[in-house]
Amino acid sequence: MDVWALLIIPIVTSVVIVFITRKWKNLSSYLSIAAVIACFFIVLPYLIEALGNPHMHGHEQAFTWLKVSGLHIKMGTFIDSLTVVMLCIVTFVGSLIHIYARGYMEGEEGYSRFFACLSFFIFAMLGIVLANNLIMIFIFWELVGLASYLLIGYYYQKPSAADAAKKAFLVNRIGDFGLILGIFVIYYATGSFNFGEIEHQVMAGHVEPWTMGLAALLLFCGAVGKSAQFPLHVWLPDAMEGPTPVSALIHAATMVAAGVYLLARISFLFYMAPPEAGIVVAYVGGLTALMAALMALAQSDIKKIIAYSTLSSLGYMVMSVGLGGTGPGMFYLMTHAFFKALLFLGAGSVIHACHTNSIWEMGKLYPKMKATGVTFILGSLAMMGVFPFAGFWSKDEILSTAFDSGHWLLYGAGTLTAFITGIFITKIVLLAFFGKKRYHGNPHESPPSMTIPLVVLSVFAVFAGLAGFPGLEPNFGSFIPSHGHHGPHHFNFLVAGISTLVVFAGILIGWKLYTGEAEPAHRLKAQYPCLYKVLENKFYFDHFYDGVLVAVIYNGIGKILNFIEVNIFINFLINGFAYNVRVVGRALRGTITGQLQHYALFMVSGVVVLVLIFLQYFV
Amino acid sequence: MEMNIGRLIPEFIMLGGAFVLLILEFFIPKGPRKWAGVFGICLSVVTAVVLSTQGYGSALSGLFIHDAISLYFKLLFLLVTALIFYMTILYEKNIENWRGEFYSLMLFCTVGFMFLASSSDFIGFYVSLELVAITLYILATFTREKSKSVEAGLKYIVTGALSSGFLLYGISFIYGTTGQTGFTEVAALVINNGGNGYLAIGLALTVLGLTFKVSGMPFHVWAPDIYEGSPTPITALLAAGSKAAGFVVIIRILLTALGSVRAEWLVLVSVISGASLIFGNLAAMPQKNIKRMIAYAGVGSAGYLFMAVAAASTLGTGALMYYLTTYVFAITGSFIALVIFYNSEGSYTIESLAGLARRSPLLAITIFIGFLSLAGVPPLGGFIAKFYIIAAAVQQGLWALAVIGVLMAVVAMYYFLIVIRSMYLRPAINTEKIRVDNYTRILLYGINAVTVLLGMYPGPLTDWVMAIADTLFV
Repeated sequence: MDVWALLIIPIVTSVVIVFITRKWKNLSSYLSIAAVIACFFIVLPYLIEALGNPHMHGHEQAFTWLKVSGLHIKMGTFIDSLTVVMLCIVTFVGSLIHIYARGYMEGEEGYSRFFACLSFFIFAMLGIVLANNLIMIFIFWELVGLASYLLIGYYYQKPSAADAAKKAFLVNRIGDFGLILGIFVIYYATGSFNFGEIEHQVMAGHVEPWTMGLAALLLFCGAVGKSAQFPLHVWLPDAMEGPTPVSALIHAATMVAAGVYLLARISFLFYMAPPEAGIVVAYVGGLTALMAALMALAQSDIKKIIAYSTLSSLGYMVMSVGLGGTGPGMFYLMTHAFFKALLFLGAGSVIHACHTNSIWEMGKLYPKMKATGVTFILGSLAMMGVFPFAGFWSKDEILSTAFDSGHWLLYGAGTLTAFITGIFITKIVLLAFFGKKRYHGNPHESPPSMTIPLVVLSVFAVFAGLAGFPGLEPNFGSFIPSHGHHGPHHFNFLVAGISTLVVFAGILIGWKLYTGEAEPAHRLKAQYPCLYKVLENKFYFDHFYDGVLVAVIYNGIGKILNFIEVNIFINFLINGFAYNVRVVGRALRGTITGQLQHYALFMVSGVVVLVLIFLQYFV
Repeated sequence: MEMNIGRLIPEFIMLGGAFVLLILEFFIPKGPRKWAGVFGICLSVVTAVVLSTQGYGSALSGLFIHDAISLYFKLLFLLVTALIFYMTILYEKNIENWRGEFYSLMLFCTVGFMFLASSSDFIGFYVSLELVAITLYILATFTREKSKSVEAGLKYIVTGALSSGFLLYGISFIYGTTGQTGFTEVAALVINNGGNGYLAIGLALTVLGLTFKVSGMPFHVWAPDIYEGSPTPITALLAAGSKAAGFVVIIRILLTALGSVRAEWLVLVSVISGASLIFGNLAAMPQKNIKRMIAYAGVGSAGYLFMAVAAASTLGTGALMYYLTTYVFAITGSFIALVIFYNSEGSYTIESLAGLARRSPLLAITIFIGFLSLAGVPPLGGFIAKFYIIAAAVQQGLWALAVIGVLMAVVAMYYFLIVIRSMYLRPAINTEKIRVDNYTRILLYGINAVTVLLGMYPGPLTDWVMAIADTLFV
C-alpha cells in the first residue's frame, strides 16, 4: 500500500496547509518540503529494484472504482521502470525545487498558498505517473492543469499573470478534448481503459491498424497541449509569469514532460499503428524544436529564452518518441529535467539579485555571484550538449535515432536546433554573467537554501548523462521498454562528431556576437530588420490567433445562423474562445425578453417547429 | 383492482403534516416559524423510514404504483425537502409578513412530487402535476411585496397553463387512439397495434408539455425570470425537485408506456436535448446574476438528462438517476451557501461574490465544489454523471449528441469558472467576514463530502441505480 501513500501524503499536506497551518508560513513550507521528500524516500526502493533488474516485473494494484453494465473501471497504480524514472524525477527534482522555493519566495504574499499549490501539484503529477489506466490519467491530467493554472496566476493582481493563466488553461483544454476522444476510441476498440489490457489487445492484433492510428493521434493531441507542441505551444512562454520555482518544476522538469510520458506509455500503439502516425508526431516535434529555437534567438527576457529552449527540448523528445525511440526520448526527458531545472533556478537566483528579467540589465554578475554563475554555466553546457555533459549523451541518442530512421529532414532540423541552441545559450551566459556591467543597485549571492539545490542539480546535470554511456550495463536504453525497431543504442561517432561541431560553431558565433562593446541586438536589428522582427514576434502566432482569426470570425456575418461553425472555429481560436461564445450567448439571451407575449409566442412556435420536424420523420 | 390504501401511508404522513401546519397557523401569533421548518425536516425523515419499509405493488385501482424507481425518487424528494426546509429556516427573515403557509405549501409540493413518482396513469399523473404546479405558483409569488416576485409568478402561471394545455391535448390524443389511460395498458396496446399518426401527435405534445417542468427547450422561457424572482429556497426546489419529478414521469411515459415506439420519439427527444444543451450553456455565459445563470445552466442540464432518456438503456436511465442525485447535492449545497451570503449582502450578482474566499472560506469552497460538480469536473460527482450519460449516448450510437455534450461541458466550465474566479481572485469590496453557524457548517461539510465522494467512489450508488434501471428493461 506504500504506493497509495505517494498520493495521500501530498494531498493531505495540501489540505492541511489550506485549512490549518495557513497562518504559520514557515510551518507550511516545512510541511510541504517534508511531504515531497517523504515521497522521494518511498520511491527510492523501487529505483533500487529497477536498477538491479531493468526489466522488472510491473507492480500493479487496483480496486474496482465503478462497475455498470458494459463498463468496468478499475482505478489502480502500475510501476515499471518507466514509471520509476518519472517518479524519481518528480520527487527528486521536486524536493530540490521545494527547498529552493523556501528562499526564493521569502516575504511574498501568500507564501503558504504557494506551498499548498506545490503539494497539490506533486499529488496530481504523481497521479499521472502512477496511473494504470487512461481514465485516471485523464483525471490527474486535468488536476495538473488546475495546479498549473493556480500557480501561473500566482501573482493574480498582475493582469498579465491572470491572462497567462487563463491562456494556459484554455489552450490545454483544446488538447484535452482530443485526449478524451482518444480515450473513447481506445475504449471502443479494446473495451478497456487499463494499459496492460489495451497493450495485450493491441499486440495480439485484435485492433484495426487504422483505429489505432486514430487513437494514437488523438491521444497525441493531449500531449500537444500539455507538452506545448506546435500549434498549441503559445501558452508556455506566457506561463513564465508564474514564480520561477514554478517555471522550473512545472513548466520545465515535470508537467510539460507529462505529454512525452503519455506517448512513451502508449508507445505500443505507435508501434502497431500505421507508420504515418508516428511520422506525424515526429514532424510536429521536429518543427517545434526548430521553430522554438529560432524564436528564442530574439528574446531578451531571461526566463522567456529558457522557456523557448524548453519548447525546443520538448520538441526533441516528441520527435524521438515519434520515431520509435522511446528510450532516447525518456533519457532526454530525465537529463533535461536536471539541467533545465538548474537553468531556471539559476535564472531565478539572478532575477532575485537584479530584480529584472531583462538580460540587457545584468552583465558582469559572475564576480558577484560565483555559485550561481558556475552552476549556471555547467547547466548551459549540459543544455547545449557539450561533451561529456548530460545533454550531450541524451541529445546524441535522439539525433542518432533520427539519423538511423532515414528521415533526413528531421535529422537536419535536430542538428540545426543544436546549432541555434548554442548561440542563444551562449548569449545568456555572456550577457548575464560577463561583459559590461549593466545592472542597477548592488546584487549579491542568494541564500544557501537557493544555492544548495543549484549545486546538487549541477552535479546531476554534469553526470546524469553517463547513464547512457555506451557499453554501460544496465544502459538507459535497455532500461526503458521499447517497442521500436531500435535495439540497444549504438554510439554513432559521425552523429556525435557533427553535433559537437555545430554546437561549437554556435558557441563561437554567439561569442562573436555578444562580446565587444557595441550593442549587438541593435546591430542585428539594423542588418536583418525583417528577420529579427519576425523572430521577435514569435512568428506572429499570437498575432495570428488574436488578430486574424478572431477578427475575421468576429466581423463575419451570421453569428447565430452558423454558430456551430463558429464553435468549431473557436476551438482553434485560443484567445477568441471566450469572447466569441459570449457574443453568441448574448444574442441567445436576447430571446428572453421579459415580455410574456414573447414567451408564449416562443413556446407555441417551438412546439409547431418540433412537431413538424417530428412528423417529417414519422409519417 | 384493489384500493390498497395502506401503500399510500408515506404520502398521507406528509399530507397530514401539511394540514397540521396549516391549521396551527390559525392559532399561533405572527412571528418566526423556525419550529415549523424543524417539524418538516423531522417529518421527511420519518416518511423516508416508513417509505423504506413499504412493499412494492400498486394501489388505487392501478392509478398508483410503488416500485424501485418510485422508491428511489421519493427518497430523493424527501432529501431535497429536508435540505430546502433547512434553507428556508435560514432564509426566513427575508420574507416580510411571514406566514407559516410557506412550510405547509412546500409539504404539499413534496406530496405532489411523491405522487408523480408513483403515477402510472395519465390522469393520475396530470392531477399530481397540477398539485405540484399550483403550489409552486403560490410559492414563487410568496414575497408579494416585491414586484419582481409577482411578475415572475404571473409569467410562471401563464406559461405553465400554456404548457398544461399542450400536455392535456397530447394526452387526449393518446387516449383517443388507444382508449386507455393507464401506462401499462397503453404500452400493451402500442406493442400490439404499433403507432399511428394520432398517437405520434399525442406523443409529441405530451413530451413537449413535460419539457416545461424540467425547463427544457422550447418551454424553458419561464426559467430565468422565475429563478431570479422567486424566494431562493423555491428556486432551489424548482431546480432540484421539479427537474427530478419531471424526469421520473418522462421515464415512465417514454420508456414504459411508449418504450416500444422508441424509434419514433428518438428524433424528437434528441432535438430537444441538443437544443437545450446548446441554448442553455451558451446563454448562461453572459449572465451577471447567479440565479439566472443557474437557470440557464439548468436548461443545459435538462439537455443532458434528455440525452440519457434518448439513450433508452439501463446505463442511460441509471446515469439519469445518478445525475439527478449529484445535481441535488450540488444545487442545495451552493444555494444554502448563497442564502447565507444573501443574508449578509442582499445580492446575488457574480460581482458581489468578489473576494468571498477571504470573507468566508467555507461558503466559497461549497460554491466552488457545487459549481465544479455542475460543470462536470473530475473528481466530483457531476463528472461521473456526465460521463455515464455521454457513455450511454455513445453506446447507443448517438454520436452527435455525445459530441455536443462534450463541447458544452467545456462551455459550462467557462461560466462556472467566472464565478469561481470572482470568489477567489478578485479583491473583496466589503472585507467583513461572514459568519456561518455551527449546524450549517457541519451540514455544508457533509454536502461537500458527499459530492466529492460521489465522484471518487461512485461504486455503491451506481450499483444501486443500475439495478433499478434494469427493472425498466426486463
